[in-house]
Amino acid sequence: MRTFAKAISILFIVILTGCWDRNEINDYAFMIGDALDVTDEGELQKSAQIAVPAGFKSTTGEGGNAQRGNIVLSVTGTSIVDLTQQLQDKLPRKVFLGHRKSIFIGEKLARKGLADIMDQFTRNTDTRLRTDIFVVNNRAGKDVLDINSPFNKFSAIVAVDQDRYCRLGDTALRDVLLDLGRDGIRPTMPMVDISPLNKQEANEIFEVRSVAIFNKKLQMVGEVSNRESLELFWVKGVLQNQYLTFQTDKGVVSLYESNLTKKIRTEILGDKLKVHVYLEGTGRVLENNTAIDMSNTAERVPVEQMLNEMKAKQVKGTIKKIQQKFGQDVFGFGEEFHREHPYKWKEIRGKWDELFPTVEVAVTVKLKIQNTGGVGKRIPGLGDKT
Amino acid sequence: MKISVWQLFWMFTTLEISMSIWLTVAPTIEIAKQDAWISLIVAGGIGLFVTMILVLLCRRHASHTLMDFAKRLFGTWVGKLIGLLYIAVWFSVSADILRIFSLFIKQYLFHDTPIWIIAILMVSAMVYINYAGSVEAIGRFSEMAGPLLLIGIAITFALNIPNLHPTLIFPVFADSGVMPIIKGSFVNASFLGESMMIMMLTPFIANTQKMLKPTLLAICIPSLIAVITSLMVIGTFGTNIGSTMMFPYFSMVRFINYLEFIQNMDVWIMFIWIFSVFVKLAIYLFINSYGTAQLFGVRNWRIMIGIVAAIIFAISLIPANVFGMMDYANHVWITYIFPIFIVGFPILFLLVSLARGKKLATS
Repeated sequence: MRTFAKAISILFIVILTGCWDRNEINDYAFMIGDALDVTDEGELQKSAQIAVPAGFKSTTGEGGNAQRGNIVLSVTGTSIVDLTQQLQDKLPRKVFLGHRKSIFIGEKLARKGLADIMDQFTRNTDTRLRTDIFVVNNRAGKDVLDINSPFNKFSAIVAVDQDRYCRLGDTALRDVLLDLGRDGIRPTMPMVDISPLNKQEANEIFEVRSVAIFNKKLQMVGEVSNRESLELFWVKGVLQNQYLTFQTDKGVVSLYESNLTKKIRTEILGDKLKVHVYLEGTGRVLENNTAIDMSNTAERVPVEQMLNEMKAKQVKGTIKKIQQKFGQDVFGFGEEFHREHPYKWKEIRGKWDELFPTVEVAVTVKLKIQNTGGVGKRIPGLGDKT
Repeated sequence: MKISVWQLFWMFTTLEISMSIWLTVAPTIEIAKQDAWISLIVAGGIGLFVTMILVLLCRRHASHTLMDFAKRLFGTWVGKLIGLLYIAVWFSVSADILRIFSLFIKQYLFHDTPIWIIAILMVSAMVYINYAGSVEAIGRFSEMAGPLLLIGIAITFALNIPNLHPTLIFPVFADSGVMPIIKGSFVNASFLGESMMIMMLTPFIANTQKMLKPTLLAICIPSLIAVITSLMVIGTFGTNIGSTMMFPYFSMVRFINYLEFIQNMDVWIMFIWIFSVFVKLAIYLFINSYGTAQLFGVRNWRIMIGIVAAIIFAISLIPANVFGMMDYANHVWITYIFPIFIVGFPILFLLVSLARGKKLATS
């Protein structure tokens, strides 16, 4: 037994001294963000935001204006792997994808179609499906990487955080892949806008306020922004909370609604397809510039009803706009038909793109006001009750 | 060299789980779509039925291994032939698992390390535990590794709950139908059928009269885990991605991100899971060594450990790539070994044993 143990340990020493996969952390170049674009010649361009460890030191001193903490490299070529290899040629360290937070796609490439670039993201075992994916509105994806945000050294991370506070967070790549290849839903991706309002903000700030709509072939066909984009996510069922502002004839009312839910019922009446959308949320009054006393039930109930009707109208308008302008079922109504009428669905799944614009939609909204913030009625003096 | 029935339970639970969550979920989703979980429940039922027959058979021949009682039932030469066939099956399956394990580790952890290095590390651990205490050592090891594995899996399930989209599981039944569900169930049922190795282990179990319940429980728990895994994978990735992924459970664990700091859990899940594969391969090594020793009349079966390990290692290097291993699972294991060696032969053994019952008991 002794000699056997000795033999084994000698064997281990022989085997383990030559390591094939030994990599120290300072042998790696961490790729934090990736941007994909198409050049004017039709070639694929990849830019990468890569962490520069030496740049981390100057976080506090010297104003840090020149210190970015990262470099952005660009290469052009044919496939993602080819591009990664070219990037590697420019770097003294091994490219490491495991910490990539987001991927930015220039609008031009998005409109051309993303079918050819998606395979790599699922096949490569180093890619995390939790990577966020954005379309960059009207600009190249690289432009986002060049931004020097004051909040974080990596604009790629800023975009993810920003998306989390106003929309969905870091599950976008998985969500796109989920919607892909299903007959009753079309993919969407959040969009980044680079549109500074003043000179100081240039190169520092971007906005996440739109959603790109894709067709079955994963080509971008259009976008919706602001309120409409949030309504899209609400009907799709992925929005968690939102601020709502209503312009009533008596003044402005703002609510914060959370615990947003959606329920969709579908009906097939002969040739006609009908969808009932029920949206619910509970929340509180954040701003009340009307003379209505929200703490008084008799006064609040009519207001709630009015707000619900207004919201239902808005949501219905958004759905109609997407039906008519883009004709892509980003809400997943088809999947609802699939769930509720699985056998009928088999007949219509193949022509869903033609049927979706003809679907009749009814929207019911039920927003509950659970409290009115720090005060019940407005403090005296802010406009009198008439 | 005896193990208790609960050590047997942990041994079987540990080795069944490794396969159920690793290799069966994706093929089942591919066949049965979002109804994969129904398939896996059916598979659990088939697994229970097969295992019950095996246990009933083994209880009648509690002091004999397959090599012995096959000879007693069918005579020396037919018995030896049956033994040889089973040994051939067990050799091939252990080589297959060894290779696919090494490939998996290579793909996820060590891209550049040669495959035989990973395999040889596993083989030396297998050889060591068999020299050190064979079945008893493996039983004790699984008593330790089994609970760890269960806890690890339970944690990953709990942490994955926020990622689920429950609607992806619907519609139930409409997209698949009876045939796909049954066809899909064969994948996991055949892997659960690995409990046929109990035919080689009964002489080493302390209280064979009480082994039915623990053994059946050792099929129930892995089936249940497979069912939950399939629901989780479908709920996280849908049927499209879920069925194309090679190892969906590990991709799901990778996807976990809880409070920003619990992430990349795959590394330590893999660590516990290696234990499970180790238990399985060590048991196969024992069965193959002990079986060949009995078959060829070698007195000291321990001599065979080294030789058998070398043969398994050599066979594992034959297939060219990962698809060869998958083809083995689909075209050999499920279509031939499952109906013949796991279902057919044990039922035949049991019937012959019952028919010749009296005579055998007296002899």
